[in-house]
Amino acid sequence: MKTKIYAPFSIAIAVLSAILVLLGYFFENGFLNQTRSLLLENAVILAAIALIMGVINMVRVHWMQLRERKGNTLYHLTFFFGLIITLLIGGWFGITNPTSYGLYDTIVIPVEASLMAVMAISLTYLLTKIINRRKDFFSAVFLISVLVGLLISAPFLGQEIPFLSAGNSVVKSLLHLISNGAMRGILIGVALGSIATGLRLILGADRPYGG
Amino acid sequence: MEMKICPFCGQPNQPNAEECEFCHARLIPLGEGSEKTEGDTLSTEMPIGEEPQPEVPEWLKDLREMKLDETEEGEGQDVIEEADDIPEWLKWVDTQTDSQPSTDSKAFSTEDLEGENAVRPEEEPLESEPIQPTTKANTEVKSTSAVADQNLETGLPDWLREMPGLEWEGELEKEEANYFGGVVPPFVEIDENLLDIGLSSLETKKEEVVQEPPSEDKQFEPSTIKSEITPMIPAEPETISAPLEEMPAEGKRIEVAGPLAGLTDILPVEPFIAEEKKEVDFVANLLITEKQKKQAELFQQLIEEEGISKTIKKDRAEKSSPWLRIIIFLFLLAASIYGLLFNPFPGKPATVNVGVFDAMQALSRVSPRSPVLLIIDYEAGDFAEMQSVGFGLIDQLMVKGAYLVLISTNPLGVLQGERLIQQVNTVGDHQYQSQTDWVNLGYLPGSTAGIQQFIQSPRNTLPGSTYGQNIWESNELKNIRQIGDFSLIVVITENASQSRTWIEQLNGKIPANQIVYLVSAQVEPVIQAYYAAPSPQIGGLVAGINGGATYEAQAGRNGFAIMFWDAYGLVVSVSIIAILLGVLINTFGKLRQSSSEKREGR
Amino acid sequence: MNLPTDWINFVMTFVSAILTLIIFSYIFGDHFLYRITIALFIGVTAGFGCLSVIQSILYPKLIQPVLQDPTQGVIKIIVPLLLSLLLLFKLSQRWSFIGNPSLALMAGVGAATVVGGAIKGTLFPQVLASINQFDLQAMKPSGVNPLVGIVEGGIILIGTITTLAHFHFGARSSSEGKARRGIWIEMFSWIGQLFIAVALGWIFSGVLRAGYVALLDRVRFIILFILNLLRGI
Repeated sequence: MKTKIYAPFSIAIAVLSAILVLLGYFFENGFLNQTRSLLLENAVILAAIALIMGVINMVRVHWMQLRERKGNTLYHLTFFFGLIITLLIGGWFGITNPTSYGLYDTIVIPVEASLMAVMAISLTYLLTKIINRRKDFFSAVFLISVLVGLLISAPFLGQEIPFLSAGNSVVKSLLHLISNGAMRGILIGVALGSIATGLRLILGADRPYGG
Repeated sequence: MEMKICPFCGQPNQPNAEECEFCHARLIPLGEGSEKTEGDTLSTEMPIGEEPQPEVPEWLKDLREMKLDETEEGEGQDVIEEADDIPEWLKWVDTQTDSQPSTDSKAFSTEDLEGENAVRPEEEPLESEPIQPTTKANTEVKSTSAVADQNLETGLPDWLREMPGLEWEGELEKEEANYFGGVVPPFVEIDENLLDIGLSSLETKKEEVVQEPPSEDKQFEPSTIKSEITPMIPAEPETISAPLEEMPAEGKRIEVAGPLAGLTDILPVEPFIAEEKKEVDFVANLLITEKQKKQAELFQQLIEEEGISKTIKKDRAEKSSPWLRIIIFLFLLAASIYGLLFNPFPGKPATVNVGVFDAMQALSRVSPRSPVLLIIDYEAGDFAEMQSVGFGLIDQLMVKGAYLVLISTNPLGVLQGERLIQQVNTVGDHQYQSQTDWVNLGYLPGSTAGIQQFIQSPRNTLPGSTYGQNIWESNELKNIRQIGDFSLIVVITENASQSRTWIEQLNGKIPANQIVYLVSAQVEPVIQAYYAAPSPQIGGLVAGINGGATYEAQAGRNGFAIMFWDAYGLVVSVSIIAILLGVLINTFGKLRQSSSEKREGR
Repeated sequence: MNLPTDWINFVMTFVSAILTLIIFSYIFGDHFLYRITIALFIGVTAGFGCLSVIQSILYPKLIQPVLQDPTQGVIKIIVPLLLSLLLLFKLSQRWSFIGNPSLALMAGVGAATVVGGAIKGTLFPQVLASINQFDLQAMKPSGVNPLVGIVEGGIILIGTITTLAHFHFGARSSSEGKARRGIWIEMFSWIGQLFIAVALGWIFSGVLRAGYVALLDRVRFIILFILNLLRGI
């Protein structure tokens, strides 16, 4: 019942704000620009609050699991340890202070970079199995395209392959052409999809905000 | 004291109850006196018929030929014994051979119904032959109830006289009901007060049936009944009719009471009849097409499978082999160590691609202390490649003395920006100071909304630096009102979605040659579509470590890209070899497995 | 030599190296130390994310105006503060409906910016680019051979159309009850798949290349650490 009372109000806010912001893309008007600016500013602040809420929710989930002794307790405790230490150091010294930066450089950079390296190794391994998983023409084309992409990016064992990696080779140009065509189609398709999804929301057909 | 079972709801009632306590059906038919004999039921007695007419069925003939000895006195007991398919209430044995005639039976008085022509039979026992019905299983049926037949010589139409069943006139001996196992069968007894108004009474019989004087029950006062139905109302017999010699044919019922007495195939009223009825299997054939049937089957299958977890068959051929993964890792690790330590293939990229060239050209717009916006939008995992890509251009900006303004749409991009500038500062041997030569505006939340807000009004969106200073009043930034006021915008990103968002939002706000993209190799194909257009939407593109190495080589500076270039070449070469070998190994392994499976006959 | 700073740097470097090796050990299989490391990483990242938001947006926009000028500041922040407080109700299951207006504002503004950007930034420019690919007038100043330009434009146009055709899923039901696309769409889709396979292969190679550079950086870090350790010993 409460949701039903609120629903038209929420829908009106969503539709009106969307129309005002969208009009600002196509028309220049003092009032429109001011309103648009106000709406965008509030949306930015709300996005920041949403991020904080995400962290709060994560803390709540870990706390509940810690209380109910679900999973390994040490993982949850480690999470809380990392979070509290970061908030204390960053909050006290400032986020761009060398001390905070040192914490970031010690924990975040090595872990994320190492994960990226491990991902590359795993992907290389998976590439060797692609033919076994899907034995079709397009898998072969995909594999050849990957190998050509690797070959044209660097000299092979120190040697520039004339028609591959050397300068603006024919293969490189052909690869760029084919890729440009495909990517243009994908970009147009993605844009059309975004427009369709956005318009559904603007027209009130979709109400992800609970209206 | 035996309870009286209601024939409608089957509930037990007091023996002297007139109405059922539960369903309020009358237990005693209307017109009966207050005296009730024990075991009175609504069952009726079968009348004894005359010689069967030519069209009378055989079983009826047999009924009439039953000996009167057993039921001479009007006592009779219809016992229907059936073999397997006779219900309980019918399974009783006629043990009564001599029974007293029912003297209490009162015929329905038709005196007033007939009017002046009414013939009131005298009270005398009706002569009737015992009816002994037989069934297929050699059961014996004995009539137990007596129905008074009223033979009216006058007033009956011819067609009515010729109706079958009327020959059952006669006195039926009424026996005291003998219930088998306490089950009260139907048609077993006629209550002496029960009115029998069967059709048998319509037959023109010469016998005179003595009619009792009307009861005190007002509702059965003969004067209230119309004269035209007077012939239909038989007199209540005083004797029990002879039992049936044989049971009626299967499925055929003979009505023994009421105005339809003697007729067959009458729809029953009592609920217990429904019990003995066989269940009818209704077969419904749906009129559906084959396609609809298949769809219905599919739907049913879907519903049945809902919630049932299916075991996923593991394909033997697709078992992941950790050894191959470990071998590939060791190969790449070895190549990395060897390449970093020994630089086996020293060299630099010689050729310049168009994107790098355009990016270098874009720097011509930058003058000392001119504000340059650096949008740092990459994750910490990609910092190695991004610092390789970005070193050359940022180093050139530092050489030119540009005032660098950092923002990020990534929460950790704030720190990434700090790290990048410090790394370039260190490796490029610059003396750039934070807040003096460069400033970090911080994190810009809200994705597209935040970007659009910043483009429209950078001052209001991020009013201060990460140190809390109001940097917009500084000499370098005091003239910045909108994003086009920056001399150059450099987007450094590894995220395809974010890079696309910046291009879309910046489009039309600033000239394309004022935007340079420094992107990861994985994003290059996406941005190429924007860059390679006849009217490009960006002014320059440096992609991947090879783009960064090309830039550094052209700029004559040794940065991260050149530092990693040799080892990178070796690692890529080894990975190509590893991929080809791995494909061959897996392909041959699969072939061998499939051939061994064929040999084993699987 | 500043011992405490050196010791701090050494400890930080040592911890970084250990964490790097723990993550690399995942190649051999999942284990307890790896999960602990990931849990620590998530906690630190969440903390830095919160700090970024508070420092960049919340403090300057919601707290600083009030501190600078209480009267004007309160008027300035009343609407965003109210919206923010309403949004906080989304944390509660029972009262989450109270946050709907704030979420509606975010959704409406976000949708409009996406639609506007997609129309003006991608759809129109990319369609124009496909058309202008055959602009012979524009080819002359840049010195491009018109024939080569047309061939290149043709390849790109075919790639664009066939890629879009591949993602067209409208079909009619046939007499057998199955849904099938038209024969022309199927042909275009097949060609489009070819283009997409090439493009995705190139993107995949870019991912591999980025990962190899990360591997090189981490190996270099470990080597430098070991060398510094040996020098120190």
